[in-house]
This record gives sequence, C-alpha cells and structure tokens, in this order.
Amino acid sequence: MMILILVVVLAAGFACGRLGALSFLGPYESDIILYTLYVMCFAISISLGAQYREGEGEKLSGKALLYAFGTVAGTLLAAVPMSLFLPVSAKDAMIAASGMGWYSLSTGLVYTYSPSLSVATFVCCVSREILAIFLMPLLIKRFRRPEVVSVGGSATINSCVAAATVSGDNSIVLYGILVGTVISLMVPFLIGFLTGL
Amino acid sequence: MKIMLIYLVIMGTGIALGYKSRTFSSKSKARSRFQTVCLWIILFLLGHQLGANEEVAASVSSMGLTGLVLSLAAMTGSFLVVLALRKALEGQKSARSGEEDAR
Repeated sequence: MMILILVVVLAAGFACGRLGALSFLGPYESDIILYTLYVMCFAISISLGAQYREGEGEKLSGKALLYAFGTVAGTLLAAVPMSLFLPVSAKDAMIAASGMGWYSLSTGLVYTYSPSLSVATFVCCVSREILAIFLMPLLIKRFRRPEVVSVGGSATINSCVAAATVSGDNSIVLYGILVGTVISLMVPFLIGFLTGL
Repeated sequence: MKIMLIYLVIMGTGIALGYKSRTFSSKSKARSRFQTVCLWIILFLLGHQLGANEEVAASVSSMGLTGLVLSLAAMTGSFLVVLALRKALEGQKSARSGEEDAR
C-alpha cells in the first residue's frame, strides 16, 4: 500500500511538471530535495542509534558483514553485463543498481548526476522491493537466510516479514534488518563514489 | 566525495545522538510520520522535475524498462554471490571439523 502511495505521489509530481503547474518551485527544487534528504538521513540514523541503546539492534557478526558486502558486489557485477543490452553504459548501470532498493535516497542522489538515469534508479529500486516481497517467501523454502535476504538488498524489512510469515522463521526479520542496515549505510557512499568516477 | 563526507557526518552524528540521548525512542511515531512526509516531498519534487524536463519525459519508457531489467539482474547477482559465499564458508567449516574428527 505504501509503495502504491509513493508511486501515486511521484506520478502526481510528474503530471504537474508536464502541465507546467507549480513552475515557481523550479529554481529551488534541487536544494529542497538535497536538504530534505539530509534531514531524512539524520532522522533514520537517530532511530538506528536509539535501537542499539534500547538493546534491540542486532549484533553484527563477521559473516553477516561479509554477506552484506557480497550482496553489493553481486548487484554491481550483475549490472555491468546488462549494459550490453540496455541503453546505458556499464558505469550508469552500476549507478542505477547501486540504489540497492532504497528509492527515496538513491533517486535524489542520482538525479544530480543524470535526471534520466534517476528514472531507471527509481524503477530499479521499487521493482526490487516489490519483487523481493513475492520472491523471498518462495526462496526461503529451498534456500538459507543469507542468500534469501540478499535478494531484497537494503529494502528487506517488508519482504522479510513476508518470508517469515510463510516459513515461520521470525529470526529472518531481525537478520534482514541487520544486513539491510549495513547495505543501506553503504548506499550514499556507493552512489557518491560511482558518480564521481 | 564531498557528498559522501556530508552523509558520513550526518549519519554518524545521528547514530551518536540516538545512542546517547534518552529523549529519542527507536519507535517514535512522530519521527516515522515526519520521515514519510519528507519522502512524499522528495518524490513529488522529483516527479515535478522529471515531468518538467523534456529530455527525461521522452526517455521514461526506455529508462523504466532499463530499471526493471537491472533490478532482476541485481537480485540474481546478489543471490548467486551470497549463495557461493555461504557454500564456501560452510565448506571451510566442514573441512576444518573433518580434520579435527580425523585427529
């Protein structure tokens, strides 16, 4: 439902832009987006800090960290050959995929690099989250937590809840939050690094 | 590089503040609502910018398909790499326990 609302909000903005409505916002939009992203990141990180203080933050094992890096590496490695079949360069394919499912942050970050690539980034992230919700409950029946959680990238909470409901293994939710958090922390740096190349 | 540093400082400060101060709860509904509103603002303005840009509007269908293909590739790539990693780690572990059993 939340994703549907977000798509509607984006589409409403797109329609206003096409119709020339609210054009006075034009010169300030990029700054408003950037500062709103900063504020959002700050709010999210306060939440993370509070979670650890309250003892609800998952303990990070070396293996979980390795799987988080493996998830990012797999995403980037798979994006490169796709550039042969798509109208984007290998670098742009990696940038669009490096949102890892975190559409709210990555779309804004990529927009400053290339507005048209930010469309691909948004679709890539949203479809990763939606597909993961349907795929993870199927995969958890045959595979183990690390590879199943990797499918969702950073957007693992919704899909992990779906997988936990099907499998009855609620620990996948906490595990998914932990790995997803590590991957989420990497996203701004990954996009910043790739767009700066 | 500058943006990476800004995010590092923002996130580091936020995590430290959330960890140290008892004023903040991880389950704050007000903060959750605030984040949702921020997200709506960002997405509406992004949509507005994209719609007002003729070049982008012309490439929406091709870029949409690009995004979909990339997401399928990214999911498959992540799955295969992590599966290989897990199997490699488990292989090391069982090899080690096998050696110990032999002793």
